[in-house]
Amino acid sequence: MSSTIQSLPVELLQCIFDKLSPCDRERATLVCHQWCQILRSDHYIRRMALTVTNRNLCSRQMLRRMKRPFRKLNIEDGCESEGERGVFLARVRKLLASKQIRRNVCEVRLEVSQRALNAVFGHQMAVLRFSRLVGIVYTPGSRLLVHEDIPPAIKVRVPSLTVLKIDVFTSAAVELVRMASRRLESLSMRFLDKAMLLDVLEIESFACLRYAGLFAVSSGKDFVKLSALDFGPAHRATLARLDSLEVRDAVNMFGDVFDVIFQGATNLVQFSHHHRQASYEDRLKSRASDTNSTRSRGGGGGGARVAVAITAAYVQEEAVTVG
Amino acid sequence: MSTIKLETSDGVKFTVKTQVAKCSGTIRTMLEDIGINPQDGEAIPLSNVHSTILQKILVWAEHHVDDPEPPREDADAAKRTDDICSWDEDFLKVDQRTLFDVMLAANYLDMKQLIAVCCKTVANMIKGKTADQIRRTFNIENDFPPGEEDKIRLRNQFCEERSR
Repeated sequence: MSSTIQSLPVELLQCIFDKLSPCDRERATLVCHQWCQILRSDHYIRRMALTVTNRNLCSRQMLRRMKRPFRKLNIEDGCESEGERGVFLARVRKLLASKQIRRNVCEVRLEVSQRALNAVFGHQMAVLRFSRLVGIVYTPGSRLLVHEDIPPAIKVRVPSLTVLKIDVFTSAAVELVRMASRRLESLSMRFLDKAMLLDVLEIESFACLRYAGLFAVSSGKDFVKLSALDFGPAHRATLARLDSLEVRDAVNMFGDVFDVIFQGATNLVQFSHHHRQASYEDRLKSRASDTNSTRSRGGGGGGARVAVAITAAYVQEEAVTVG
Repeated sequence: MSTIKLETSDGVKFTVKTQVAKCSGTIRTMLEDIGINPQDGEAIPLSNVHSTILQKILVWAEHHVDDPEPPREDADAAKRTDDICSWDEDFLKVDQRTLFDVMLAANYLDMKQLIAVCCKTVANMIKGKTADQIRRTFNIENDFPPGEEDKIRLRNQFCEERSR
């Protein structure tokens, strides 16, 4: 009997590695072949995020190694030239089409342009089904490409998607929301103009939506304020589903429509608002409580109580410079 | 109080309180499910455990026999390694060979709490060390072919674990 750490069976080594921090685990992969194999087994791969960039997805061999049951996937397009991008996107397309990825990934963060989004999801041979995908965060990679107006061609099925966070809207993003709308519970979006917002709020198939985060940012051009006339029955129906609404308004786009929003969002229990003008705060608070008390009276006892959090804190202008 | 007899791989017989012996899932199963009758005076053979190690394990079991069932650990609690009680810490201040023998025996005897505390102890020996330091601590040979380490480093770049 002369036991060493290498006499331990895999399940005990696993039990030890479970107690280590990710950083210690990473160092432990370099100890010996056996440890590396255990730490790169599916048991650990499932806890990891795969980050795909043009730098690490640089060969077919790497592509093969990435086809593992990762739960989280980050895709970043850092390509400098179009030729390079073409090769990179073709590999990403193959990666996403792999069973291992589709069946296991729960969260995807896409940092690619709309063109790239189409190239990856649009040119697939068949409709892709991501059975466990719960959340997508989409950020168009290059700021210059925000204005690309390419018709979206996305072919995916995401039956479990409940969380969608989209940074700066494009028409492909509206398409993404539409595809996921039936099960979506939480939707956050940063948008440049009101047309995109209204397009999304008009989607009629929202059935589970409870939270909306609406973040208006300046495109550097003239922006158009929302007006009460913009809101039709479909928009109101969407608002009525919400428990929780968060508005971040760097450009005062919502200035004239809070009455409409409070009237429409009849089930709201939480409302938070970040805005630029401090003077605005009192007006908004009084309006919120007015609507609230009217509703309590009308509801006969069981009136909804809205927790209103209004931060006067000056919102940093999150401007996206175009061009 | 009822007792049972255990016989180790080197033929040493131990008479143990049934309650203490039942800290081992393996023995508990033998007694309860398979229906080995300890009154027969026949010793339960533990062919994978040496007497020196069983002796040590019985000391541990004796000390922890009245411990309440541990609550189901959530993910955070399971990751903690700084919650080893001082008695256990002293108990496991042994050379590596004994430590790993105890682990192997605990694994064979299915003693989850003892396994957990041993794993925590070993994890603490790994924490904060470089691969090279780990190899030296445990006397592990670097069996990677040349160039393989760089490949793994490259792979580590795209597999990121959330550090939370």
